[in-house]
Amino acid sequence: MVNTPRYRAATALRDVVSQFIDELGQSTEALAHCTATAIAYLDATSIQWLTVQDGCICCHQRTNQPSCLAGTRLGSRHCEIIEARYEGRSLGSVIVCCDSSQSPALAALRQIVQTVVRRVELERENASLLVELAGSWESLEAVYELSSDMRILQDPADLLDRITEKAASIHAGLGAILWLEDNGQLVPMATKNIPPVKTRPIGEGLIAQVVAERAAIILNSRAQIISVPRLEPELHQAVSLAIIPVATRQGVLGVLEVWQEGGESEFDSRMLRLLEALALQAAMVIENDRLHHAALESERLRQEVQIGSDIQQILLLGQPPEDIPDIEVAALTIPSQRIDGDFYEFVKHHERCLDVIVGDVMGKGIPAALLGAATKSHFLRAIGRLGSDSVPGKLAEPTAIVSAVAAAVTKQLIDLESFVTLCYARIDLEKYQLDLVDCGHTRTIHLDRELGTCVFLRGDNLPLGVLEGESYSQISVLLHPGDVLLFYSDGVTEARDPSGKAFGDDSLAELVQANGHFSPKQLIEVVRTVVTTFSQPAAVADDLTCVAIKIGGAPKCLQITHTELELSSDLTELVQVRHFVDGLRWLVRDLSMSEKRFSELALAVHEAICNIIIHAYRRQSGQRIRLEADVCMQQVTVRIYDWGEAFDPTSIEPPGFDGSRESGFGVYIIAHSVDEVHHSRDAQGTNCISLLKRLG
Amino acid sequence: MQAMVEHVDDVTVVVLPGVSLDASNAKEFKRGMTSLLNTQSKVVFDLQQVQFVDSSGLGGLLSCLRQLTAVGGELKLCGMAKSVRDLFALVRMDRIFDIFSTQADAIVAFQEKGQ
Repeated sequence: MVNTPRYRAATALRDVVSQFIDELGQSTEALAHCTATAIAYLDATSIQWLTVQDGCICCHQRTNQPSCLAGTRLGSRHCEIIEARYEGRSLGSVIVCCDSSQSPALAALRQIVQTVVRRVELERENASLLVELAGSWESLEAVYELSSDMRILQDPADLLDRITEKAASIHAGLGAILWLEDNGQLVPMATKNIPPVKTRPIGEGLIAQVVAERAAIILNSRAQIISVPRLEPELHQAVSLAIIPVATRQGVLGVLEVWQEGGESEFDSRMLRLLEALALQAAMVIENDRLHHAALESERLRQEVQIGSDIQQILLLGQPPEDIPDIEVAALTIPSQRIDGDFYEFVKHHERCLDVIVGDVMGKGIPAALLGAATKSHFLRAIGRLGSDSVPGKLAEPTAIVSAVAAAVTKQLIDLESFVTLCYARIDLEKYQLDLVDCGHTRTIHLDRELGTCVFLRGDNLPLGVLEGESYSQISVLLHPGDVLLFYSDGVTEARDPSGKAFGDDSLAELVQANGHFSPKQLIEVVRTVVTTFSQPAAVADDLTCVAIKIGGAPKCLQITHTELELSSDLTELVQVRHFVDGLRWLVRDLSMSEKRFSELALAVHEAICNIIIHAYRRQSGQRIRLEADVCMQQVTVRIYDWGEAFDPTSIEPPGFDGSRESGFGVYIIAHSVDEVHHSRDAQGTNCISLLKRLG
Repeated sequence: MQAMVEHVDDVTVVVLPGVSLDASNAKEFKRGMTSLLNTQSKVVFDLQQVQFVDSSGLGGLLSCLRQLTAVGGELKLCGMAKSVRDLFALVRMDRIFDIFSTQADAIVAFQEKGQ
């Protein structure tokens, strides 16, 4: 603690008088002696001789009531009374006794008296300023101590307690309470020298006024205090009080309430200064604590988002396979502010068959993410279990898999009041077919390279977790090389631009149509760019999830010549087929296909059509057969469509090569005359055999 | 369509008509040959005019072969276009049939056998 000179804030008149007399005596001594003037000080009770002169009758008399009062002459001496006044109060009288009334000492002495009074006044003022300064210094000291405390004590409750203690100790016998205002309630944070108090409504007394006006109230008179309506209960015995707002720039946080019940000290400016300093400290402690909590909360939230993001990456999102020759897969996720329930998984059965599962759990945050992960794991389990149960070499149907998962999760989803939309897609390149079980999910976009169309595929199953005991149906669609499939979450189509307009699935389909010739990776980059630009400057609200798949075996060239032929199921029409094939021969004339290879293709086409006429249509004439051929730099593809009976190439026995049988060569010839043969049949009963012959 | 039939010594040569022997006419061709195959024992099918044979055509030819050999006769083929020969090779019928490049070669083959 620093040593300071301390000046008492004494206002007793006695001190002033004694100071006045001292000063007066000192200032007049020399003059009085030179001019043989006697000076005395007189107040109501006594007379004090400052300078005595021989030969002055008054001095000799030395009575309390010198007869030279009121200007009477006594002998040859002249006496005069000069009044001294200080701050409107009489300091007494100065008697000046000199030779004559014309004595120059008289005028000088009058002047001196006034000067001394003035000097005393100034000194008093000085003294009180120093007292103020001391008060400020005390406040500074208190603040300094508290700052040191803050560095040591971590708990804001301890700090507030210290502050209140300091407030209560600026004078003996003070009670103090530090209140925090919270939604109209006063919460006691610390109390000193009084019994405990409880949280109570702010009321309509002095504290409410201090909070409302953000200004301190100081009352130093009992009369004033008891006349306050709705006075705070603890103040009912107070003789003086001070209530200081605890406030920051943002507003009033509470009050520091200090009062005295006995004794006579008043709350003066020095104490007020100190209390204000303490109140400011309290405000800083509280504010600091709030900021600290806000930072902790923000950190906790950031951690939750990080955990969610990790869950998402590891559990919810599968790895697109990169090792399937004719199926190119790319996936995109843009996470939103909070994690979503989007998930996807890829199951490669073999080189020619890939299952894709894309789903969305209703809800947000970690609960939704966990449900998504659980659903995904059910799928993998069901695929494994059904796979081992089924006939070797035959995969479980998508409807069976979805049904198995639904049986496992529906009840739990209903209990959790959540549901899962999903799309289970099987891409089978043996049949060039897509089987889709759509359970309330967004419509899958199918860009058909053959027909040049871009359509939405949708099923009509309910999402999982809506009803128990549901059955699931699948739709089947023919695929062609170059086709593109796009699965996506509703975060994409429901992304909104600043004006509130949604992106929409039509816009997405247009994007696919315009960019379908790119690789799936490039396509989803375009989707990412377009959708994030669309919804700027806002961040995306839901996760954006997108899986793009491109079917291969595609003509890499861009130039395709396409021809078609419709004919009816008569063997006599075979000549038309020959003309058609001659036309193809002409189309490939500039290309490097050898005559041998072309003849092989022609033979295969011919055989295929014979099979259709003889077997699919059972020689029924007048039935529709359609041929399409695509010629490009690498190959010729001929597709033949019919609407007759289904044909299973695996049911044909190999032909006999010993000449004992005359039939059964057709399928064998086809298979060995072209590079690739594909059979497929869609849900509408369209059979398609596709023959591909490479140029060389 | 009528096939052209020639006799060279004791060999009967049939020049198959038409550009193709396929599902549209294979049965008809077979029927048309039945009586000839019952009466002749040395037969040559000349396919010089045939540009296209499919599995039905092949089946028809096989049927002719079997009918002929059942009664102790012999069938030889000649004048096949490349694509037709390739087909025969594909289904290994080139091991079942006697195939010669020209009519003359086929006839000589009959004579060399000293029959």
